[in-house]
Order: sequence, then C-alpha cells, then structure tokens
Amino acid sequence: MGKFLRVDLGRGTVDIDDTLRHVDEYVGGRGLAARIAVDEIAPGTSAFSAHNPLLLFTGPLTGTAAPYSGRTSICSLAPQGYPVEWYTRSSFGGHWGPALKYAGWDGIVISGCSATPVYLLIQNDRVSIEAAGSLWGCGIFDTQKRLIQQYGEQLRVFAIGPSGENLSRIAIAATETESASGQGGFGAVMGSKKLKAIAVQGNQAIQIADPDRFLKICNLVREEAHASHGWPHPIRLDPEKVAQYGQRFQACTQQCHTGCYDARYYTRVPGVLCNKLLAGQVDCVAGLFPGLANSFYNWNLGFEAGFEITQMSNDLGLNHWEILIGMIPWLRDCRRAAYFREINGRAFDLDDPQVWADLFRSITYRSDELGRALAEGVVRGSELLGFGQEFLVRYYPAWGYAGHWDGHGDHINHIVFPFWLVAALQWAMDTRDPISSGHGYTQNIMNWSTINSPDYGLSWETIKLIGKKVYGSELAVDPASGYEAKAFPAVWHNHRSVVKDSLPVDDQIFPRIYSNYTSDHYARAADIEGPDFEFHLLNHATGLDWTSAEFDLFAERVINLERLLQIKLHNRSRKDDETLVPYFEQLENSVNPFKGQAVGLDPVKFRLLLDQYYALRGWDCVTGRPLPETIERLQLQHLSGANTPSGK
Amino acid sequence: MHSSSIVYGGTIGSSLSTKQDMTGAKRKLVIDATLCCGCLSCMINCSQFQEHESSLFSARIRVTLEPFDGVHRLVWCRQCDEAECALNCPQQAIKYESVKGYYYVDYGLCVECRTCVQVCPYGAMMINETQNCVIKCDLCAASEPMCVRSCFTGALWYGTEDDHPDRMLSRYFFRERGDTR
Repeated sequence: MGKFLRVDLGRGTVDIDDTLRHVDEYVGGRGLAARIAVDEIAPGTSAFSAHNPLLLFTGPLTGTAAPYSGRTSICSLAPQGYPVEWYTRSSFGGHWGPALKYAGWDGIVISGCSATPVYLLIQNDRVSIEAAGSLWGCGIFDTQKRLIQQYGEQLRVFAIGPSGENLSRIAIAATETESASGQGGFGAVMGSKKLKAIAVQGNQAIQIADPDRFLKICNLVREEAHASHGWPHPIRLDPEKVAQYGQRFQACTQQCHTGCYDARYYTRVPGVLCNKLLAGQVDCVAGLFPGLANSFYNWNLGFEAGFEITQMSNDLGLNHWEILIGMIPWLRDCRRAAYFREINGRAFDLDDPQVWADLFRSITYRSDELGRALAEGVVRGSELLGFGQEFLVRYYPAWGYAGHWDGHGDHINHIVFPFWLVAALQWAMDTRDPISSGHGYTQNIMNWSTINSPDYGLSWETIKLIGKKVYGSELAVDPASGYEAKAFPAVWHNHRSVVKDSLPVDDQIFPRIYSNYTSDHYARAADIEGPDFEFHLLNHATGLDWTSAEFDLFAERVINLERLLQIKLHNRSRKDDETLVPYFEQLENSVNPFKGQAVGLDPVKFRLLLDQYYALRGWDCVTGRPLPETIERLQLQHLSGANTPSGK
Repeated sequence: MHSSSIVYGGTIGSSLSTKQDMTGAKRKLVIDATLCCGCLSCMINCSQFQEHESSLFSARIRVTLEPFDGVHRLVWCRQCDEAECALNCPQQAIKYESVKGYYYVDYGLCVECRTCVQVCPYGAMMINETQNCVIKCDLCAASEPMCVRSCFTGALWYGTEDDHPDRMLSRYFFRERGDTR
C-alpha cells in the first residue's frame, strides 16, 4: 500500500506517512514498528502517557493469498511489562488487518490522548475520529455489533471492553469473538487514549509483484503446511458437540487454511448464568475454562458454564493466558495458604461459575480490593495485596507474564528437559512471554516426537537428521544432549519470531520444519525447503530478490534494534536477562522420560549457554549489549543511541 | 518402518477434471455453509487466480461473515442446467462450455448491461468494480477450482452432492500420508 496513518488523538488530527522509506530494511509489522518506536519513544515515557505511541502494522503478506497471513502486529510500551513497562509486541488475527490493507493502509500510529471517548473510523481514504458516546462501557462484542449495524457488514472492528477502559494491565483488545492481542495489556493503552475501537472498511485490491509465481508458491505452501500446533494428527469435529452445540471449524485469522486442533466455533450453547443461547469461538488456552479432569487444572465448570465464562472474559476484555495459567493457580495457592477466604462473599470454589463471573467483574470494574489489585496483573497485584509473592515463582518466569511452553509454570503443554532450555533462552532475551511467535522449537519437537504423539510421532533418528539440517547439529534436538547446542536454535527461532510478526505469518504453522508428506519428513514443497517458505512468499509478493541469508539479516537487524531500544528506554542488561533463572531452577513439572525424574535448571551451565548466545549474537557477554562491530554490520549506527545509559 | 495405516483417502477432486464424475453426474461447485470456517481463502485465491490481485471484491464467490451468530453466508454459481444469466443475456455473451460443463462470459460480446446480475436467482453474477465488468465463476475452466483447492474444511467441494468427504474431518488430512516413519 505504501502509506500508513498517523493519528493524534490529543490534537484530533489524522496525517499520512510513507511506509516505503523503511520497508527495505524492516519489511512490516513488528519490524517496521520497532524502527518507528526507536525514533518516537523517549526514555521515561510510561505506557499510559500521551507520548506513548500505539503502533499497529500489517505486513506485506496481510490480505494476500499467502497462506496463514492475515495477522496484524501491535506494539507499544506494555502496561503488563514488569518490573518496567517494556516496549513489546502482540499480534492478532481475525479479518481486521486485511481490511486495513484493502482500505489502502499498511498501519496506524496512534499518539496522544483524547479528552473524551472516541473511535477511529477508516473507510478507504476517509478517516475520521468519531465520538464513542454510549459505546464507552460496552463489551467488545456489543461494540462491534453496534458499529457493524451502523456502517455495514463489511466493517471490521478492533475494540476494547470495560477492562481496557478501566486501565487494567491485563486488558486485551480484540476483533470478532476470539481474536485478541492478548498479552501486553494493550487494551489499556487504548483505554488510556480514550480510544474505544478502530473500525475499518476497504474495498481496494492488493497488487502482487509476480502474481503467477506467487500463487504457485502459495499453493505449494498451503498444501504442505497441513498440521497446526505441531500436531501431525487428523483434525476432527466432535459429532456430539456438532449436534448439541453447533460446533464447527473456525479460522481465527483470514487465510488460515489449516484447522487448529482446538479452534472451534459454537453456534448455540445455553448459558448457565444467563438465560439465553450463546455463540462464539474457543481457541487455545480458552479450552481450559471448563477445567480438565486429572490435570493441574482440575476444576469442573462443565462445558456450558466454561463456554459462558470464556465469552464473558472475551467480552469484558481480559487476558485468558494471565487468568488461566497465572492468576487462578496463584489464587488457589493463596487460598490454600489461607491468605484470603472468600471472593465477593462466596467461597473460592472453582467449580462455581458465579465465582469466576464475580472475579472477572471485580477485576474489570476494580470493585473491591482483590479486583483492584489483580487488575494490575498478578505480579503487581501480589505486591499490592501483600501476600502470595512466594508463589509467583511457580508461574511467572519473568517480565510479568505467566509461563508458556517452558516445562514449568504452564502445565497444559508437556515439554521436558533439555528442550525447555531453548525456551529459557527465548524467555531470557525477551520482554514478554516469547512463545506467541516462538512455538517453533519446543512445540514442534514435543508434538512431532513420540513423547506427545506416541502413535504418530517421528523417530528420534529422523528428528535428529532434520535438526542437523536446520540447526547445524543433531545435538540441537537430541534428547540426550543436555546443554549442548541449544544457543543456536534459540537465535534461529528468535529470528523466525521476527519473521512471523513482520510479514506476518502464523506462528502455529511457520517455520515449516517437519512433515508427513516427504519421505525424510523434512518439510519441502517442490524444490523449496520448509524453512524457506516465508522468504519465497515475501519475494514473489513484493518483488524483492532477497537470498535466505539476506532474509535472516533483516530478522537479526530487528532483534538488535529492539535490544537497543530496551537499552535506551530501560537500561536492559545481562543482569535482567538472568532474572528468570530461579523460575527454571525449579523442577520441571513432569517426570522426565529420559532421566526417570524431574530436573531443574543448572544455573552455572545455563550462564555458559547465555555466553554462547551472546557470542552468536555479537553481543558483549558481560553487559549483554550489541558490540560496536555488530551494530556496524547491521547498519544500526545511526540508531544505536548517543544518549544510551551506561551499562549496569 | 511401515506404511501408514491411516486412511487419508487420496487426492480430492483433482484427478477428475471433466464434466461428469464416474457415475455420470455433472460435477459442480458444491457448498456446505455449515462447514465454512470464514477464512475467506476461497475468495482471495479466486481473485488472485482470476484477476491477478488479492481482493475480496473481485472474487467470483462471496462469503459474508457472521462472527457473532454462527454460520457464514455464501454466494456461488450453481452452473444451472437452465441458466437464467445465459438465457436472458441480450448479447448471448454467456456461453456454455459443453465438454467441461461451465458457463463463462465472452467479453467480446458483453456490453455490461448487467441483465445477468439482475436475473441470477442466487446473486452469483458478480461485478468487479475496479475493472467495471461482470464476472462469473467458470470453475477455473474446470481444473480443480482454486476456491475448492484452498478450502480445508470441506465446505467447498468440486463434485456432486453425494460424494462429499467426511464432514467431521479437516480436508487436509485426507491426503495420502504415503510414507514411512
């Protein structure tokens, strides 16, 4: 499209800026946002400041026929970040990003704070800031429905709920019923700007540089990328739920062709707390709301109440991951320790849906002491409440986010040593839960191996051969490899995280590594290797003629630019990177099949692993800062920050 | 090492590219909207293949999303036996390809009177507003249509009403795994 919007809600102005001056180096999405953030966020800025820009960027593949590509990146200083409001990112699917492209815009940079509630209305070239009026106070669903009723069924709306309005640090912003920028608290950034929604409608076409070759590679990639979430399993509907609740497949994102193993839409589920039929999507961690028998999450709400609670949480605008993986287990520990007895006068009975509903409302509307505290996220909330801080390490690795695919705090995903070492490195180098665009290593190995897929999994010999191709060493994926060869896959997947957030493409599909369609199980389509799919899509869509190495260089540049931004804003150092060590020192949360017992992180060996990571990055092993020669190689000298604070 | 015992059912549709299936029934675009997941891949792939651009507004199949109520609404051409679009075209610009069994617009004859748009009982004569011309589904000239090829749920099917795959199983897992572990 070549242009993006600059909206100043304080002055009430809308301007146009040029995308093209940065795309050759930063592509789009997260990469482009980082480039703009470096120029426009000053040290000392807070997440709720008028000077904190909210950056929403699609990428060159959004809205095209590229499979699994319909996402949007959202970046800003994050209210959920801890101990500081790190500049970070989230992303969301649905059909909003493509609509923005069809309206002719690559992204939006929103600064300033409106004095009164507003929404942004984009209808192709017509862009206006409209009074939100009675939309303020509405749930995310009603906000969308009312705007769609007013402007037509082609309108796509990205909105916040009351949780975002009330500046909860765990507030989401979302579109449709289950496509949210969940982590980061960006709903509260919108709330602080009094921005209720961004409504988009467009009817333009996206031109492709090489249409024939692009379509060919799209077809190849789509038909190869058959398994989501690393599951090499068939994906089925549940006949009983089809009959009883109208279960059906649902793509959470435009152009997502592969049915996730767990993403389903339900057209008619009777409410338990409300007397009506409910409809909506359930995806990923939300499937845990009903509870899971014989698991760590062993409450029992039942499907119908669990579904209702899921939709209530989505409508109010609360972060599912924070609630289910962090907050509820932490509250349960606190209740067992008798730190509190009741919630809103009710016993803390997780089998009672009213308890969940009351908890959500008290958080959303900050209506009591517990709700006011938990609206700040559990880590800050624990400080405010003055209890339960000793339990945080069970669930919170770092940065204010609950565990995720790391073998420790997250008990729904099974991952064992040594594979969570790569997750630990990903966590160490990030500013948020890194897994949203970083599933590719741990999830693939666990689910494509016989550990999580005893009937369908690949042999370790096969996995090791593929590991050697991708990571340069069989040890990178060898279950007996311990701490050896884990730094490279962490670097590699950090780059792929940038790729996924910048083109953007879906994290549950890319990078393609393993396959059921090739004799050696290495993902391949025609003569294109799986890990190269993304850059072939990019090249043919845009006319770039990058090599795989140049593609990797772009991702490395973004990682380094984000690191420089962390240093500039928050004086980030190696000391910060190591804050997650106590979390990983705990024993992993299942018996290790290769060890016969659960094991924890060896901090001495892990610090050596960190040394290897910094060395591969070209960063100083003591400070964790990019070395001058790295900055020069990546041509970031002009952005490295003359006023950067001294190292810790 | 052993061959997969999983039944993935073989390649869907693509091996039969003529008018009739093996039972003699005419092959059409068959749609079960209850299986539509709203990914809009059918639309984007249609426009990319037919119009060489990515757009929801130059597709020859249309999906209207119902994100809050349930089943999405689809509009598509049935390749009618008694096609109102062709019968009512004053220029006889909508022609029938008798071997493969689809109707198409002969743009050398079409004068954009839009009569076809008005008479189609299914609303399946579309308008490409950028090009200012009518467009209609020609089943991608009866190779496996792009919309079908991109639909993983089995909501779209190139065949007859009776040969739909397992409606509970994502289409992409019908492919022959065909290898060893």
